[in-house]
Amino acid sequence: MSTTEPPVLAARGLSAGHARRVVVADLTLEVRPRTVTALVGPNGSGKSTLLMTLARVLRRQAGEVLLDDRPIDRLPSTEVARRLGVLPQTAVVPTGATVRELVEQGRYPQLGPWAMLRRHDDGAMRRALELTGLTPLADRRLDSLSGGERQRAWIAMTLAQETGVLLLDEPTTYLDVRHQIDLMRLVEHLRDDHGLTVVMVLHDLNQAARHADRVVALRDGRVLADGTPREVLTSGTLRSVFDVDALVVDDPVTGRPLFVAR
Amino acid sequence: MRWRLSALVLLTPVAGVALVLAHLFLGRSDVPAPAVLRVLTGRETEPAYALIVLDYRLPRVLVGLGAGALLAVSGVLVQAVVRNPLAEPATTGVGAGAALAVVGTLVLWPGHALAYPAALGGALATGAVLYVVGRRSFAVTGVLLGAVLAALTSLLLVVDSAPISVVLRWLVGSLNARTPQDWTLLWPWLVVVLPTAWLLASRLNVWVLGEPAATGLGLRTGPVLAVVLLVAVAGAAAAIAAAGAVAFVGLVAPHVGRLLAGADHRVLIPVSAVLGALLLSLADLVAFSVSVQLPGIATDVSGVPVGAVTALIGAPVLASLVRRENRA
Repeated sequence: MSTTEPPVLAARGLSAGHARRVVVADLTLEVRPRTVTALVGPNGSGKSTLLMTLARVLRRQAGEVLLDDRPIDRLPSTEVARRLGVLPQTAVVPTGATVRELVEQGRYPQLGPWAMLRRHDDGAMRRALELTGLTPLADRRLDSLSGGERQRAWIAMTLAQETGVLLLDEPTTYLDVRHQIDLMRLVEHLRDDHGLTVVMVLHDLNQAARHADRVVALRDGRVLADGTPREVLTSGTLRSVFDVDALVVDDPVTGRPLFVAR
Repeated sequence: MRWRLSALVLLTPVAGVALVLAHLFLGRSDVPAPAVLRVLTGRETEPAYALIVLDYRLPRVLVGLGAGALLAVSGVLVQAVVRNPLAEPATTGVGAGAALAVVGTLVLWPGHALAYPAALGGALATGAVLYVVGRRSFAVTGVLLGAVLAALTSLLLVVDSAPISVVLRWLVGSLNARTPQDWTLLWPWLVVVLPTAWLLASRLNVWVLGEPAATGLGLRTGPVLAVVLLVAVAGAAAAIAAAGAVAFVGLVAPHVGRLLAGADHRVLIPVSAVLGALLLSLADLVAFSVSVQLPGIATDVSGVPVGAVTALIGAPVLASLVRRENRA
């Protein structure tokens, strides 16, 4: 992880929220290229709001978001979508749509609305289905799938966008243990072999410790701790961020910090 | 899914031709079949026959097909806008707006032939109000708007019941007594609304994924929403002005379309248009063929308004579709 490279994505003095309620206040964050950043924090700490504001899905109230050093809301939205993919937490399942039809929508930013009037089944779609293990399920209807399979279909759609930056809001929700591990390995593979930058909201601290290069802990819309998993996941931060009394030991497999509640 | 589509592509032209012929050969006035044939080949010498076939029956079937297609496509668009397959053109309140405008003009300026522009204007104005007021929740706002407008219509009819027989055809929907002029007023809308709706298909496929995902894919949701709503309201307004607020076609046609063609709007829009056209025209065939005799009333009513038929057929059809879908 290099700290000298300019950030791909940055928030400067960012305030954001819903309607008049401020959830994230005056926050500054820089995301370096080819890193995996985990946003952690208790419910309502503002991590999803932060992620969705970085993704220009929520409108910011103050400050700015920079994508490749340019204000994100001055770039055309399709231009942003070609560089930055978003996996939202609450996604609507269109009635009757199949996995392939959902994944196809990931090609929208690259191909544009006119080309998308024709059916597409290109390399990007096939790779996305492959990487998420959904190739055998491609023609199944989304409403006939389990919650985890559906979540993987949404991840496949985001991957089909083939962006350099991925923002994932609780990507492991609904997934069983094996698919959680598969997804985290996929994230590492995308960083190592494709040079992707990933920012994700995670609830499982051990997952964050194990797979993220950097952990950002939020509480009440502010960053309380920011650094490597070892720097952030200490008994002290766990108490101040989560009000949890915990023991932090070394993970016997990875050597990273492992949190055990007391 | 594929074989269903192929069957549809093969069967619909046959069904369409059969329906048009049925409309031209059958009817409430007696025209012998050979005379209809002679009219169609331009060799009929009896002007009354030519008048009935070309000026009554032909516009009736054309307006039925056109209005059915517009209602179906408007239904698909409204369902996409609110991301709910149970929405329909009536969800926007435009039918109620059209009826109120028709009653209003009949009360204020009786004896003037203002019904068509009033219906069209009322529907479009309701759509505009919906867009301005309902930005947060179109479904709730549209239904409320429709209820308020319907209440105002009832109030006007209580004050002055003279227009009730005229307005009934807008409230229920009827293809009785359509003239070539109705078709002249309708077809330009078909030419504009249907292709525009189809050109929006790829954007709709993204829009239905929900606001966050759609924004993430670079869709500018605000302008897309405005255009989709405009096209949906325009389609419904033109259909309602021509045939009245026919119930259920805008709900059932997209529903059957989804069963046959799936969720992809690039296919769903044309398939629903065809289904809506056939459905309304078929219902109309039933509508003018049946006669109703009510106990205690001496005259028997032959030829019920098509809106009554679509509601009577549409409701059980929809109920069975929903049941099937839940079981599948």
